[in-house]
Amino acid sequence: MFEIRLSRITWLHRVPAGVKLLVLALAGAVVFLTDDPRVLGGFVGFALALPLLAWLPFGPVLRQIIPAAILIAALATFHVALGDPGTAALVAARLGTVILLAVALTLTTRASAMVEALERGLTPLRFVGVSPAKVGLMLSLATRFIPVLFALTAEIREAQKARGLEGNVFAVAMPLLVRTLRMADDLAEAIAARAYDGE
Amino acid sequence: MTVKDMVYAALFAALTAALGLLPMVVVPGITAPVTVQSLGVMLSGGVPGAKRGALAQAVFMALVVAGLPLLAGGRGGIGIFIGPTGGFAIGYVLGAFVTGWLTERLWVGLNLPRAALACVVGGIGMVYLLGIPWMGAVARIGLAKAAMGSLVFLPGDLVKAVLAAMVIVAVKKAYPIIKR
Repeated sequence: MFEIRLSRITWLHRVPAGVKLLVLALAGAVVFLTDDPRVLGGFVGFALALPLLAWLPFGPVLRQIIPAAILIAALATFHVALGDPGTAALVAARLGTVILLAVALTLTTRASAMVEALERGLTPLRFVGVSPAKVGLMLSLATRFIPVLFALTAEIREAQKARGLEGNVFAVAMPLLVRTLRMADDLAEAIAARAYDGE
Repeated sequence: MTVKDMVYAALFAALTAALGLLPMVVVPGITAPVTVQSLGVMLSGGVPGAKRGALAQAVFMALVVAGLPLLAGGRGGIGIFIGPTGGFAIGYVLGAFVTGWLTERLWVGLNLPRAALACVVGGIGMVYLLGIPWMGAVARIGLAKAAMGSLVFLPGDLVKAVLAAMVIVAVKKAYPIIKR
């Protein structure tokens, strides 16, 4: 499966996904609630040090943070232009911290481990009718559907090419949707026929 | 939640992901990259209905949070949610729900203008309604500046709303899902 996670294992990979999520959530809450430059500075330092301490390679880290970094730089420039460098530093420190920590988490955690952590986190929602097992099934079905959609698109495009319609978006989109909707109906029936109740 | 709801939600989550994996279209004259991913929001609501649409977008966001690079341009991870663009991500769920809700209300006699109305209100209105104040607050730039920054995406989004509406009307004829 394609994912952002690095294949070379670091010690950060071995920290459980739930622990990393908790640290990220706590750090996010603290940096958005405090205005104290010493506390913010500490968190910025921690966020900058973490990828270095875990020996994460620069390339993948940069690729993940560059879009966010451009946005943060634009926002900071905007505040400086308004003559408010204090707010510029505050915004850059807050957003920079959470994005760096989130990238460190994403680069070192298997998607399946994250899904498991999410399922466990959703357990309290069982009382309002959301079953973690059902969430897990939907997530795995969705990841399986993505390559199926690409394969079907290629097949339909080839068929429409034979009719000279390969440039027509609707000649590809409509058969694709009707076929996948029918496939979804068949699949739902097959799952129901096996007496699936999501527990 | 029936098995059918779950399978449809998974299918439209996958469709939204697949639309984001398509190469970005760079429109000359517009600096911002135009992606077709928001088509997924409108179709998720307009084809299978409000409840399944919202569920589909929630599943899609869960996959993104889990770290799959499914957002346009190969981005993903939990940072998307807590950064300045987090409101747009939540807006996708509300947007799909409202698009579907309006499509269900307008189902009898659904035509291109009506479907386009549902897509514009849900897929654009709701997404901006949550995305713009969030960006204004998190980045401390205020509502007006955040709205100005989002305006570049409006022409592209309007084109996508019309495209989505055409598909929704055609699917209603070929394989109707919403029953009235």
